[in-house]
Amino acid sequence: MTSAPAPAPVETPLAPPLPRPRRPRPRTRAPVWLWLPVMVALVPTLVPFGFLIGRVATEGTAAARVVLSANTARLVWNTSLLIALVVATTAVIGVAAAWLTERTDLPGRRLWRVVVALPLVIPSYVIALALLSATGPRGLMDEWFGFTIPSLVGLPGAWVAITIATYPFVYLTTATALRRMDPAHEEAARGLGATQWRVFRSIVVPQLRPSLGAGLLLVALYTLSDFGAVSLVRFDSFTRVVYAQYAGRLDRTPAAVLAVLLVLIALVIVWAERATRGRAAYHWRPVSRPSRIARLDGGRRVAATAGLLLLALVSLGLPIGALVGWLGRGSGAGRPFPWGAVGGSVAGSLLAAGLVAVLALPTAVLVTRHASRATAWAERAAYTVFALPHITVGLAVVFFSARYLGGWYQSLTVLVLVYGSIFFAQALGSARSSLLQVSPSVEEASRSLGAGPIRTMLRVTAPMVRRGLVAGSLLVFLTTMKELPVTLLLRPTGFDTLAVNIWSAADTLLYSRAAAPALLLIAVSAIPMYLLATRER
Amino acid sequence: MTDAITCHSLSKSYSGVVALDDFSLSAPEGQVLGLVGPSGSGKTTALRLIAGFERPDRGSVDVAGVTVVDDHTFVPPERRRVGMVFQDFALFPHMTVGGNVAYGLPKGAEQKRRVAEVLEMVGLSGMEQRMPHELSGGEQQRVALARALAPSPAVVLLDEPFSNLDAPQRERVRREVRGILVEARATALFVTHDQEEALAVSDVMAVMRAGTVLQTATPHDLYRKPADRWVARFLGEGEFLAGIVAGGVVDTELGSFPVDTRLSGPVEVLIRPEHVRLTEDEGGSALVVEREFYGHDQLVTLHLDGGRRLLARAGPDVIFNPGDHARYEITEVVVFEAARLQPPASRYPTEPNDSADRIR
Repeated sequence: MTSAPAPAPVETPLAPPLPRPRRPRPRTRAPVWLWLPVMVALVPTLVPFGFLIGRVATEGTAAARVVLSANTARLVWNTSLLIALVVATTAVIGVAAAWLTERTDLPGRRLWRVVVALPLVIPSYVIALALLSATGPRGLMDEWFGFTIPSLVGLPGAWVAITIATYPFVYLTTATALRRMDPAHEEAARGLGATQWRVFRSIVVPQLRPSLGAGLLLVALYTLSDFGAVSLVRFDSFTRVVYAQYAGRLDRTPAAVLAVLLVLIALVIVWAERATRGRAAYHWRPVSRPSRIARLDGGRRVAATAGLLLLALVSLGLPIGALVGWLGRGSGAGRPFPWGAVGGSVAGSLLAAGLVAVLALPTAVLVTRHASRATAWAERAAYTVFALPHITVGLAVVFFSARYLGGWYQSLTVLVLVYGSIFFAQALGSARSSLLQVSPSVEEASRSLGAGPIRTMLRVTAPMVRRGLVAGSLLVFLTTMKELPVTLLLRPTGFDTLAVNIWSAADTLLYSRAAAPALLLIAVSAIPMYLLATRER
Repeated sequence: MTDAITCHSLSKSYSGVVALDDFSLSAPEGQVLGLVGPSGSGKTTALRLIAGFERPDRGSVDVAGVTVVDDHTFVPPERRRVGMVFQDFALFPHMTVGGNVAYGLPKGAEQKRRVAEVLEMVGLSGMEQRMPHELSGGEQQRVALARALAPSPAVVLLDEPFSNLDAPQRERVRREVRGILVEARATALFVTHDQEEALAVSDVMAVMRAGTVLQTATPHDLYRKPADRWVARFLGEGEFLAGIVAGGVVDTELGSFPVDTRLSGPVEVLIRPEHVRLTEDEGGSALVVEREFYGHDQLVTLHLDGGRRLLARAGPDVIFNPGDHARYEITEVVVFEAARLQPPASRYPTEPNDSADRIR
């Protein structure tokens, strides 16, 4: 009997590689002045919001009465129901549209990609207004085609209007994820004998979850904080009632309490999205090959095209058609063109976009080049502010400035500062991701060639992150144009914007007066949208 | 001769991990000083502290006789008169070559002249209007060097300057860069993990390990008289033996050799492959067990009678195959103190490609 020699100890190829010692991250402490811009961005909302919470906390029993009332329970139920309906509907529409335009040989895919995303330029309250004016007895549908659709008031109206306004969020995040997905996983599954349907269910959908979750989170937060659409269709969700309590009562405690409660619901939503995230880590790797394109046979091709056509008709054709139909009729005829409102909207949005760009550049430098625990908190604060319902922010600033700011109450300065604050995260996010692609050594080179930190930021950092900065500012311009509740609450007397114009006309059911400003708003919003879309490629 | 840079007892750690530990170094004016060590030994940290991108925990740095950092002083990078050439070149992508080189110069008529002058020095005359992305890697490297040299800094720091270039380019660029630095009479401090590169480019060389400088000397002295076993091993291959020095001669199991050393008594002896002369001889006492052929030479592993291993470098003309017998002759040995052990490695993070860097 021969005894086999003991095998030499070899490294098994399956053993995980030894962890490499992490190279210490060379980060220097930020100079104090670099914190100034992020303070300017966050203080205008965080301080009043803190004040609001403090006020509610000191009310004690009065606050508790509001929270525990039957009305509040009904509000929570209404709002939750609306969110659930909108989230479910947008998930189906968004994923289906993304799959059709990214993964099938549907004719005209490129055009559909634009058309499907286009409702982003139409604010929800304009959609609601168009729906209201087109439905019901003596609505446009009745007048033009002779059939009456039940008037879209209450829950159905809010559901349809907000779904149209928000499904593009789900569409865009899902389409991006589908485009970036590594086809190797799907090919491996097919190679293991899985059917196409099983591949979709077991490989594609789980990989979509993070992006789908992010898109649906946006939808849920948007639905929660939407004010214009629910007000116009007279659906008692949180925001409408907060505003009514504020506008209609001398005692402002209920409004303040409900506004804080609204934020708590937003936190619950964010938490719920986190809790349902899977544990698997998904890494995007640059994908070299395009994914498999599914063939649609004749019948399916017709069905898919019909579905997208219907979507476009309802989400674009109906609102724009209705607005055009109302142009120059009834009490809207002969009224002067709302130049003042156009000027107000554009001026306010430009100021906000410019302010945000100026603040986002140094803040992006702060959070990427001097990353620390403190800067991580600052970033988190910026995103929290972005998620705060605007009605709450507006109320908080009203209460705070009426009490402490005297002459600054309802001034353009405060309005623009608050715009900048609530939309700051959009610009910061895009500036930050551009800056992350630039090696810090380029800035260090500038320093060692004799340029101080500010000259370096202006001459080296700014030109290199220009694209991200401009994209962020365009986004802020677009969202400021559409903003309603903060503008309503904080605008200086005599400061008119398209959004305010539309709202006041529609609130009094004067659709013909709202038509011109609404079409103008869509036209002006389409400019940054077009620039953003064309810069992308 | 004055020193362009003096580092005194620099220490720096990042969240508990020691990067530099009592690091001292002087760069003599007008010379090229190579700082070499395995990755993770703290070379780049030293460079960043000198440039002013980070602050040391302790210690001081003088540039051209002026203290730029110590416990009470911190001169920001833009006022240190220290030029830097980065590993990724870090050219400003939105500026022309001329704009890049002019960046550190005061505005005016003089600026244009100086830009032309340094571009000529690096062999890129007339390239002012080109954009960085239109240039080859080697050209970008020279623009980065021109940009750093333009304001006539007291010292130029180069961080792994050749690692971003392909192997065939690297040696040529290395020679060019050394030529430019010598012509500009610049003081240069360059960092590399490649000991061959350091030996080839430096006037003076400092070997680093675990955050501290082990030895500073000319490349020739360093190679021939390493301070300890670790330095010897880092700079090249060889076999270690025990020996005893007495009266200018060291006795080892492989024979006695004359040595030039102040040491006496027990020592450690290193036999480098190039000091072993091989001759074909069927009756020779050495058995060839392995051979790597490089073109310009070959590295032969021998088994000696007593079971000892020996490495020999032989010319390319006669090929030694495993199984052949050969005669060997040791022409020279390196000795150093036996007692001097390696610093305990456990105090520091381990260096991942330590062995890969060491054995080339």
